Amino acid sequence: MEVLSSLATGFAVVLTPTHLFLIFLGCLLGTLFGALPGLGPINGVAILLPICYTLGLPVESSLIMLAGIYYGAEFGGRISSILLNVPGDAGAVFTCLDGYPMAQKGLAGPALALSGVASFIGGTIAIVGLTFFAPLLASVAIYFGPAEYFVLMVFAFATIGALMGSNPVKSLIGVTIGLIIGVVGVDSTTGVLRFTLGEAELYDGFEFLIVIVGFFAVSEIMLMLEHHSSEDFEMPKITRVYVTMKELLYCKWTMVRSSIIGFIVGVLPGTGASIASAVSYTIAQKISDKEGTFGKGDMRGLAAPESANNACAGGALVPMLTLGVPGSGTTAVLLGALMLYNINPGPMLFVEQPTLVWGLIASMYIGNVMLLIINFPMVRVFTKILQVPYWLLVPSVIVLAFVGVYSVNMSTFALLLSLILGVLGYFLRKLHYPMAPVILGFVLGKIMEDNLRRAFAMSGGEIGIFFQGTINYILWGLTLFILFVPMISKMIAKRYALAKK
Amino acid sequence: MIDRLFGVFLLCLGLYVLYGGLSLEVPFSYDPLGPTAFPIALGTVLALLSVIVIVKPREVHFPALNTNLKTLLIVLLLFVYQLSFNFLGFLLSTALLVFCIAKIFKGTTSQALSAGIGVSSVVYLIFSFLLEVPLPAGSLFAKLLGA
Repeated sequence: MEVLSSLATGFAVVLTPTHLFLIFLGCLLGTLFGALPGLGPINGVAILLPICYTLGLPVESSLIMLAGIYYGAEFGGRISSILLNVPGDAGAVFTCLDGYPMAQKGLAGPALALSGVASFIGGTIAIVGLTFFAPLLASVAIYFGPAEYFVLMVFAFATIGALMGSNPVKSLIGVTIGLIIGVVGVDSTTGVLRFTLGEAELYDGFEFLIVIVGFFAVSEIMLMLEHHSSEDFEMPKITRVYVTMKELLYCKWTMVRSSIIGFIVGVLPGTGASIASAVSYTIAQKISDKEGTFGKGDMRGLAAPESANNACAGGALVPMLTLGVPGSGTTAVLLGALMLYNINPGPMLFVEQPTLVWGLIASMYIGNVMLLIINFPMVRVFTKILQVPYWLLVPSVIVLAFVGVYSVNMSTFALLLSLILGVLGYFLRKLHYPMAPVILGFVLGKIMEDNLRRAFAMSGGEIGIFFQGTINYILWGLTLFILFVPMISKMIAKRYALAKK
Repeated sequence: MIDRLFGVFLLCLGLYVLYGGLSLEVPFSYDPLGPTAFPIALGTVLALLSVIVIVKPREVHFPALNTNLKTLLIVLLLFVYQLSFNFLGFLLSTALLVFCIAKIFKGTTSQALSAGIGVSSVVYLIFSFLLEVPLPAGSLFAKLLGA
């Protein structure tokens, strides 16, 4: 088995004291960022990335730790959902539905424990999926030429438009804004300056950290004024922090099913944890909710979204590692982190950087076990951290984010750019433009344009190159399919409703 | 209404990108498309999509005026912060920023003071000594000390 030997090399990379410590640190900080309302994995990565970078950590160490923050945050998001009815991050919205009622019944401890196990199962199933599915996809990916690559991104953006958010127009506007921000700077083939407004610091384009700190940290702080701080809530008492075998077995099929759903949703480009947990919760409710207990503290209703959002984190890494097209907003940020290290993501990543890829995959096996272990004894610590007052939390976050931007760019102009993008991000978020498409567009913009132009250069200006070959046919077919899925499902729902009448 | 206004802003942005793409001067290009095609396409798409938003805006809830003013104040503070960063130096400007933001988020004066001093010195220690990032000491102090 080639996969197993590759995985063994991965473990060889990871099983060093430094890397084990970094995984631990990543998971711990991730849980923290996930647990704190308003701060999600993206903010965590945005704050930690410049620190990794200036520390001079090698790329695989950074990636291992940053990925730890990603799946750790999916783990941590559940804590404030269950205890305070405030989702810690976007993926944990559905965890509130049954988690909070359980806490009100005095079952806060078991709810935390059960969701911890559900998260672990979701995460582990997804990593196994990633281990076997990613090399398969990577072996197809090496046949991708510029034309196929361009069509792939069209497919990715079609998925975003069709599946993200309630308003497809706004999702697509988000993608376009991201792509436009990516256009700024010197054109790599002709040296023409595009939209630099005469600022020398924009010649290289918007630096990656400026964009994520602006869109996520600065705008988040502006939004936090509207949140209630956790001081306003009463913390429920936590009794026993474990689940019984009976309770676990009661939820076993829900967890397995939701994990698989989460993984598949994660693999689709651009669809993150929030969609995964929504889909799995809805399906679990349709299948299992015979007595109408969902939403009133049903354990299965808690297990479903938690397995799904952790599985989604693993699934989202599949397209990112094999095709260079991130599966979610946070993986887009991880991809940007790779680019900061001058590593070109794309179909060749598996071939060119095997230690990086397999080291990352191996680290996730270890990280998931660590998360499970640290979550039980430390639940009480995390609940204390939830009570950090905003007057300390908010300024700390903005200062760390700004110093990070400054340390990578060494200029205050970078801070100004972050602030401007932050204000733009505030309005986008207030007006319900989803942010994941924006960041995906920004990260993919340059690659998309390069491949478009390379394809045309190869064909001598003939558009036919985008419609040749099996891979292109499949990709266009998938694109059409994904665009029509929402329409078809609406039609079926209508028929169903009519038939019921 | 705000949704519609923002749509108009996006329309202007799209038209600006379209115009910028069209008016780029390209001396030569190795590929048939050149550097202008992508921005032109993006500007067109953004302009067209924003028209849909302008025609069919949605109701959006913004918070009370009081909160909006505080939001504006935070933006203003961050703007002043990046202006004063080199002049006042990292420690002083950060302490002031943290103090003000802590006050906005309902900290008492003593809490805000301790947060300001604490956060700025901890971050300074981490970045200057652990990460060896040179943070500005402040040209103001350099002048005062006659350096």
